[in-house]
Amino acid sequence: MSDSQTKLRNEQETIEFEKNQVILTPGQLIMKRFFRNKLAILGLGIILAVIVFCYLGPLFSPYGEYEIFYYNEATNTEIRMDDKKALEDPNVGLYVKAPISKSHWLGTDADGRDVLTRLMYGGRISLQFSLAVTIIEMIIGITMGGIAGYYGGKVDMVIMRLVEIFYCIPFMPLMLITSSFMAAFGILPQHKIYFLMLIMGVFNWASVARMVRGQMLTIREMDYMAAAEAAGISVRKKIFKHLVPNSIPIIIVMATMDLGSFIITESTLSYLGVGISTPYASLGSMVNAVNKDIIMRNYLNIWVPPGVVLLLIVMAFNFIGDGLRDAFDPKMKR
Amino acid sequence: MADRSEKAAKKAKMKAIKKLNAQKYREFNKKKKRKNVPESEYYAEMRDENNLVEFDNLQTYFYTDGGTVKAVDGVSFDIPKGKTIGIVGESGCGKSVTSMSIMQLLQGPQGQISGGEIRYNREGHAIDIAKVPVRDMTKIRGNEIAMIFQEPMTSLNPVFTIGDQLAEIIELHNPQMSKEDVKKRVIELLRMVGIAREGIEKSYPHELSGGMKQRIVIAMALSCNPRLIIADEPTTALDVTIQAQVLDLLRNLKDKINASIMLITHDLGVVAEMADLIVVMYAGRVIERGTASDIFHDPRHPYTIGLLKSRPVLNEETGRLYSIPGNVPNPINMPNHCYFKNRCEMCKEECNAPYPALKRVSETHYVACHLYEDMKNQ
Amino acid sequence: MKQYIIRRILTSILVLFGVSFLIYGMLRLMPSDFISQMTSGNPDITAEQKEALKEKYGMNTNIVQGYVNWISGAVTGDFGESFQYQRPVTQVIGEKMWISFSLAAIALIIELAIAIPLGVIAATKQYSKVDYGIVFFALAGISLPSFFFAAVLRRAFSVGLKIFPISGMVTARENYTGFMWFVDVAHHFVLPIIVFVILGIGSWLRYTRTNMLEVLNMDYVRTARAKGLDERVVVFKHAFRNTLIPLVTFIGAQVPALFSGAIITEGIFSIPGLGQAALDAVTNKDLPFLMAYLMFLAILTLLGTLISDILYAVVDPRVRYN
Repeated sequence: MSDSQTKLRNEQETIEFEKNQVILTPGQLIMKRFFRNKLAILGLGIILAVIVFCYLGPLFSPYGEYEIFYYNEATNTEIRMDDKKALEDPNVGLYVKAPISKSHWLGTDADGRDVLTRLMYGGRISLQFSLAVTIIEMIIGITMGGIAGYYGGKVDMVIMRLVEIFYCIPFMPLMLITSSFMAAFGILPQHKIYFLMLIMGVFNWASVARMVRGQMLTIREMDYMAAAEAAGISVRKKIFKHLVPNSIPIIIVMATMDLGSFIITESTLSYLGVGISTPYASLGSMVNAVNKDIIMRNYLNIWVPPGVVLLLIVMAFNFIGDGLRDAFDPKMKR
Repeated sequence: MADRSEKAAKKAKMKAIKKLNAQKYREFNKKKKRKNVPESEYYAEMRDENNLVEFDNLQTYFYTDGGTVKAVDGVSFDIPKGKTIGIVGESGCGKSVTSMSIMQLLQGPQGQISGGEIRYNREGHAIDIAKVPVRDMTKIRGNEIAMIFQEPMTSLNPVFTIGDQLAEIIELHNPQMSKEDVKKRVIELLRMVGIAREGIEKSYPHELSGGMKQRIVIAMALSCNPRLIIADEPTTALDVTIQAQVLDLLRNLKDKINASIMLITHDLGVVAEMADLIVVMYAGRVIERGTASDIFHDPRHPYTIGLLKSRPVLNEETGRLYSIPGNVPNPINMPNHCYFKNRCEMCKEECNAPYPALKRVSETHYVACHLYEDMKNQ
Repeated sequence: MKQYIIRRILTSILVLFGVSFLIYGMLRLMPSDFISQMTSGNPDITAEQKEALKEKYGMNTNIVQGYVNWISGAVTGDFGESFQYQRPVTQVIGEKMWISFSLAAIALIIELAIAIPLGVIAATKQYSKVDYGIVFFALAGISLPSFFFAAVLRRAFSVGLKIFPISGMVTARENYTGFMWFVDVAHHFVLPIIVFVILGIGSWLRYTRTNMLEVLNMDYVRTARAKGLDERVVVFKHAFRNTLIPLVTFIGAQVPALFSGAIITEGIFSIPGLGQAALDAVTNKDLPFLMAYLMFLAILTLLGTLISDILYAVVDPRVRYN
């Protein structure tokens, strides 16, 4: 048999061969591992549901974000805020703590606002808030950690001391203090929310920087980096070809987990009355109603739903983050 | 359009794989978990009483996400008592998986013995290891069949002293021994493998060099006078001078306790020095086996010939070393013909026919290749 | 080793200076005069105290000068007097931290007693139903907002079933002593400890599981199996002993944090520990207390990392510091 014939047949064989098996790219393998994790899928489902609820929900809600309801005790009718004429009746009062009904699926809260509608806006703010904080934290952390890991030496020394300083600043008490000061100084809620984002972002970059730097150092020590250096690959290419893709998995995992934890932090501050405040709805400040004994005892519809939504969102982020971590780390697979 | 249907086909295939894997995992898990299995259930009859182990059509499969990998697919060979048998082949040909199968140390749940027998000529009664439940396997592991692993650096537990790790296995299989006797035995073993430094048993693995660690691993394997020692690339991680020492040691000790050795390696030099019998494996199958002189002086399979040619030989003027073109194929859903075909230089028309059976070249020498079609089947 | 510790302590002191300056600077940079802001709502403060404060915190000087004034007091142990308690803050912290510690320490012991075995089991049965259940439990616990969970517990057990007291550490007006006092406190501690345990157990569980999984894939575990050891011995002796290394260092690092108090949980259950004191200090704008409290927490954090490094060398024979 001639050479060319053999070659031709070999090629045919190879094609045939490939038809008989599934070859998975690393990306596909990660996806497969991720989607095999039932908890991760559950988390993904919850997040999607919450997003639909918070962003599409208001389109279907007949009420506005700040709408307050009134009640005419004489005629037993509910009155909406913009019905100026009906409000003039002397028998009209705030429609507070209304029970669950067709018009208010979760009733109204202590200020006469529809709980379900506020839940949508509260969830929306919590999501956006923690996304913003995560982005700020990541930008600062990755930049600082990258600089420290890349340059090493004195630069590294200085940044790592800085990281240590930020690392030991007790975050929660400090947040409480600064937030209560902001309240005392009469900063408008509209501005305060941005201040809060910034402060939270600034006080959390240390762990990201530490992780990115550590990752860079380990990758630098690895054999393939020495190989790249020996092959004369330029410094910039080195960074972008090897270091960045290797750090990305951990960064994604960290960001997902942080999305959840920042929502908890924000809602805790709001619960204590020093976070996001009226007119904005926040899941934490909605749960705060529980501090009134009568509400805790008798009006579960006011404080339980926001708490449950909060728990669901945070849990979902943790499920996804955990699933991603397992999926990215082939060592975890047995 | 074609792209989409291809994708759909791939998806369907992945789904089918997933289903099969889940079913297999369940099946094997059930089998392994059984308790109080009567010993008679895994009794077997040896074909030849002089053999210590007989692999009979062993099939070890890995049920992975990409499909079923037939890592070992119908392997048969014998390990006679007191002999050293070398298993040779490139990385990924299934040699290690064969050894893991006899120890039942396959990575679960993917790796499973799916068929065939591993008959072990146990004192009293021969048994089929493929059927032994995990619980009973612990009496065989380390005691009757011991293993020396490839990576001495990581094979020892870093948090226990080497003395403790040696004593553990002795105590485990000799519960009647007193603490004093165990200690004596540890010292004796250490002396046997050539490290008799005072107080060495109190050191941790990280305090020893690679060669010393490998000696400890060997001492551990020999501690209960096993009948079979499996040495999986015992010298690969060591430098050349240490290699020779370790091999010498192994050979001497084997004679002392009259054990058989199953030596797994890709280094033909090591095999030439040590083995009485040789099995050449390729892509999960035995392609040729025979005595050392059969294989070295009369290699038949083109792959064996290639392997021998690619070996550097002293005092011989050769230009470049020979290398076999291509790689070992990934054994997922392999087509039914000779797996070596695509890399073979002597390939002919018949090679498209179904996978060749082992043919008999001589009393001791067998080969699986279409070139020797005229010879008798095994 | 000794040298290493000394060096670590020296750098820690350096870091502490940085922390204190940063905290001080932040409080100083707040718009408007923060002393008058803080004192305006506090009737206990005399004009004299106000002046003394201004001087102590260097409000009449620039930031650096003011910081020097504060720190020179702090290094001699003078953190000033608390507004709320009218006593030196060091004394107040020294008293309150033991209440927080007893609560947190009991919770930690319970957490570990549950989390470590469960984590090991989850790892050995990866991707089984048991594993999913344990991981779900762990992640759900981490995700619970403490204030919401505490509210649910109080609604269910204190208001609804009336089994446990709703708040406080002792029953008011009963003045129990001796054993009865102990029982009373224990009764009050049940709900807060449940909050601590459920919220804290997840991270231990996950940590144990991850480390165990990693160790189970090691070659020496395979060696242990090849020796013929029973799977239980392989897991609980060979693998677990290695998992213990990161675990012990992690536990060691947590010990100082036990003193810091839990602001939210203590606040909700009105347990008079350090956390609640801090929360009160924020509301009452008790600046001396807050400054000292923040520094105390920073010291605890640094102590935690130092302890974890030392423990590393103790449990892992491979680690030696030079």
